[in-house]
Amino acid sequence: MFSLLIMAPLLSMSTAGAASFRYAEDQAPGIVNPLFSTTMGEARVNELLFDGLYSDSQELATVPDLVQSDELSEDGLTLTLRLRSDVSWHDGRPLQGQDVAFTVQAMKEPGTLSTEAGRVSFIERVETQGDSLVVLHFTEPQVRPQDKLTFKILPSHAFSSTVVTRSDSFRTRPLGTGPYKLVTYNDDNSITFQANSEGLGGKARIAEVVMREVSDKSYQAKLLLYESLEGLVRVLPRDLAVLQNNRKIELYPYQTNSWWYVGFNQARAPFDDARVRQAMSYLVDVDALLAPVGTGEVLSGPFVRSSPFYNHQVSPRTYNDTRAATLLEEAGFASEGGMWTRDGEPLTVTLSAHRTLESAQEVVINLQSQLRSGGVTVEVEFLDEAEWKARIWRQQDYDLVLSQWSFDRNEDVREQLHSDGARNFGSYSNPEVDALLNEARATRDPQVKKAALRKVHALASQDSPMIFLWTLDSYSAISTRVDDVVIHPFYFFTWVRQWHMGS
Amino acid sequence: MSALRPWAGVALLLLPVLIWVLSLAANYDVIADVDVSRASLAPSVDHWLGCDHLGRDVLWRLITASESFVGPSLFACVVALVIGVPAGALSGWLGGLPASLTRFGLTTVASLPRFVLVLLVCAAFGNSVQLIALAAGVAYAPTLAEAIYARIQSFRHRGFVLAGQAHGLRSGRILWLHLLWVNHRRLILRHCVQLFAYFLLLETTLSYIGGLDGAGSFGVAQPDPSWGNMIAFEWREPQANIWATLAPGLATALVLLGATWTGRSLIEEQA
Amino acid sequence: MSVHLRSLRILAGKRALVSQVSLHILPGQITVLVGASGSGKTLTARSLLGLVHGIEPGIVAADLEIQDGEVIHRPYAAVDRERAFVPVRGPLIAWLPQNPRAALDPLQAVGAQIRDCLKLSGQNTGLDVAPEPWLERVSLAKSVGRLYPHQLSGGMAQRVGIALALARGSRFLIVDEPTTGLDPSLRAGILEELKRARDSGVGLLLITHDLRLVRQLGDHLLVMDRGCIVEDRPAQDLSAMQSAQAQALWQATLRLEARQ
Repeated sequence: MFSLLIMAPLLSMSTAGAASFRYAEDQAPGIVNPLFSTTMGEARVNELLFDGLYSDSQELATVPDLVQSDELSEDGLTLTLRLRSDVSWHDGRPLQGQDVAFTVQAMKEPGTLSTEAGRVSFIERVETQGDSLVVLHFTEPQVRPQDKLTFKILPSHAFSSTVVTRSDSFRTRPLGTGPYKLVTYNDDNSITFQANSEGLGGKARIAEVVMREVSDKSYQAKLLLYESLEGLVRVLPRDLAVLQNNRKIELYPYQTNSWWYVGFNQARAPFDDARVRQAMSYLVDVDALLAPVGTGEVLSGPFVRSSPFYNHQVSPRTYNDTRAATLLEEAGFASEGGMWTRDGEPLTVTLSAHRTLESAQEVVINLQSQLRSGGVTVEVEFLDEAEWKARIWRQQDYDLVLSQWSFDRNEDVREQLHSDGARNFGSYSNPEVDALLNEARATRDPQVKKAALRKVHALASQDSPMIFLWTLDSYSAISTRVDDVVIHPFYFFTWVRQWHMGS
Repeated sequence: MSALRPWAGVALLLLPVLIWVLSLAANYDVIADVDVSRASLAPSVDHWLGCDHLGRDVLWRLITASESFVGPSLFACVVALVIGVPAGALSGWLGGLPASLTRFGLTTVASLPRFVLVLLVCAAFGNSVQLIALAAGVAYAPTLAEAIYARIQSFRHRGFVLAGQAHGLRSGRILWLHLLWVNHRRLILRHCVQLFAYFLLLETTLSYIGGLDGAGSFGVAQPDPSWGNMIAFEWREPQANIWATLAPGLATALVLLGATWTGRSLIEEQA
Repeated sequence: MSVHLRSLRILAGKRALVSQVSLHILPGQITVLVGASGSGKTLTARSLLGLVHGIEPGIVAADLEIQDGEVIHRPYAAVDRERAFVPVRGPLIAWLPQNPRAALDPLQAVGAQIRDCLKLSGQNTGLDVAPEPWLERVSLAKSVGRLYPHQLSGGMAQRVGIALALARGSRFLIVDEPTTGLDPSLRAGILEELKRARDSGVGLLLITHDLRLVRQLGDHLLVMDRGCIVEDRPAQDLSAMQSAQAQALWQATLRLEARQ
């Protein structure tokens, strides 16, 4: 029975040609339209189909992609771009300035409800001159606006208006300039892409890319081992050992800008009191929490260790029960029979975790155990997506959450930590942090920004709006049949043009 | 072997009950036992069955897991008895319209697959072991009632029943004492053993499925141990201590074997 | 103290199984009810206890009068017949069904069943509910009390049945085919027990298809055929029987005896 289940997809997949690169996603993209993408899976597909004005070099510096040359005005308020003349859409029409103007306008359009609107909010308007000259006018002076111009450009001729809906037919026949074009949506939810011979820098060397939906994550590694896949975007920690020992598979480590945390609801007792939050973080042994999950780096603040904003002067909190006891007693708690109580009420909190969070169960059980030993009773609940949105985001009806944040290269934590931040569902509020975040966003000087964010790091560590946990070491696994592989830590396929498959 | 089997069966069946008593007495803290420095430890003198990948003692979890099914399955038996015995006995004894109505109701319940019924109850009223036990008891009651109905109906006109009536025994006494207790207590006991085994299997299965998605949406959720969720928690760990998955599996198999043997010897003695 | 059954009628649908049957049982006397199989003997006997309801549809009309000292029970005249039969079943009339082994609870030891009867009868309340004396009264060993019905022989089972009736202390005893399937020596023993019961003042209704029993211990004879009483006379001088059916039965019995 079980072997049949395994065999069925194997048989159906063996028909793919030798020159095709097959990779797995947990879930097929719900929508192929960069205006509305929310998941990493969608971002990876967008990377295959579309190009941005700028892109990342392999050293993660911003380099022109669709742009031939650019010129920033003295006052930093306008950027004049000359587009490359040799780029055409998958339908053969040439790329024009109005496509850029359309894309920015569609993202900004309130009626579109684009999830990416925030990325172009600094652009006041776009002006086109001729076919290939584009002038961007900014709302405030910019230093390196190119870094923010990596969003994907859409063909204006494929849409009737800048007000675009999620259900627009574009999602079924997307049109881009990217290295691959979408050929078919297959019945098994897979998507077949073919190399675009007119693409930037010539035709990609791998003729075909296939996105497979494999919802059981532990099964993905097996498919890779059985050579039914060529690539795995993210390897589960428990599969690492097996894949590492296989000669036909190469593991590619990459840094993700994402970190785990235990967030406090500071809008209500007992975590409205910073001392209680600090005490909690002293009761947790983060290294022991991390051990069953995988390997990674323990953090002391809201940035990954490799980030320029990470403040190395602040060290991660370590387990210290006497310090925790002092803080809890200051906050009015007393220890009764090893458990903390205040006004006769035991310190009991609920920990909410997202149902789909990888290895959440281990962390939750471990955390529950550690806090129990520290005298705090933790009740656990797992929430699915809808409950999570309602309970955590909208109603803010929770005590503790276990979750992770993922960032792009800009590592903008303003939404998480600013008192009016959209993602600050823990109601963290520190005027000093607010001011520093505003300063970091407004300044044109990278050094000032770095200094401000490092201060934010120190303050956040002190205030403990969350217990900062860790970044996990991440690996992609790719068959050794694919050569010259370089993986973008976030978008995966950014440098797919140079990949090729041996004989 | 066949002479030993009834005793071996009873012994295996009593094992979880003994473990249960031990567990209630010992009061092992399932939450506080995590210690990652002991992760996936092999069996040793301190930890007879080793530790799971969070460093929790497998033997203690195995023992404590009895709390998640022994009590509830006894509760399920009580539910099935309270519904099934009177329904089967009275409809077998009285016959006629009351019997038809009762049996119609029971057949309706029985026509739903038991597992589906239990899942429906879980989905509608939430997921707790007590509720699953209640559902399992209700789902099993028709089987018990039907078995008793068939027996009572066939005994109803036996000579000794008439003779008892002729001697002036009240109907109630004949039905409850002579027909049910004296003549069919083994049948009832066998059904209880069967239900006990069924509930163990049900709870283990549900907890296993619940354990697989990591969030315990069915059955007993971590950190509370169940033989099912213990297997689900460990079996995908590449470096796992093999006893952490093997022991709960073996324990389930042994108790089920005990139930089968006991059940069979009860049938044989009755025949 | 006597039992009088008059104009008994039992209908199954429109068909009469028994009609116009009357009989009387007197203390210290044996009334013998003779008839071929299917003539309605057993049904008549069971109607004395109100236990015909199990036989569908069993519409019973009868005038049953049981005189118990100053009290006269008329259970069929009562609204709630089931309740009206309660003082009759057991204390007044006991019934030994045809297959005595089937009449015993198969999974209860004989002694326990006698003890139950003793408790029911209210005799020997308190400590003395020992079944042994009652076993001895019907010439059985004390150890028989530990046996289960399937371990008894036919004759033993019949004796246990009598012991149960005696232990119950019933004033009248209906015995259905007590000698069927027994060899002559056992037969004689059982008949001896019945005589002894009669001599102690119990009134007996003996149901049989064997006319020889009438000669051996009968006081009064009734012959049934197809649901009707065809002969009702004292049990002496059987050659003078009136009805053709009774005569045929009697001739057959004589031929059987001659052959033996």
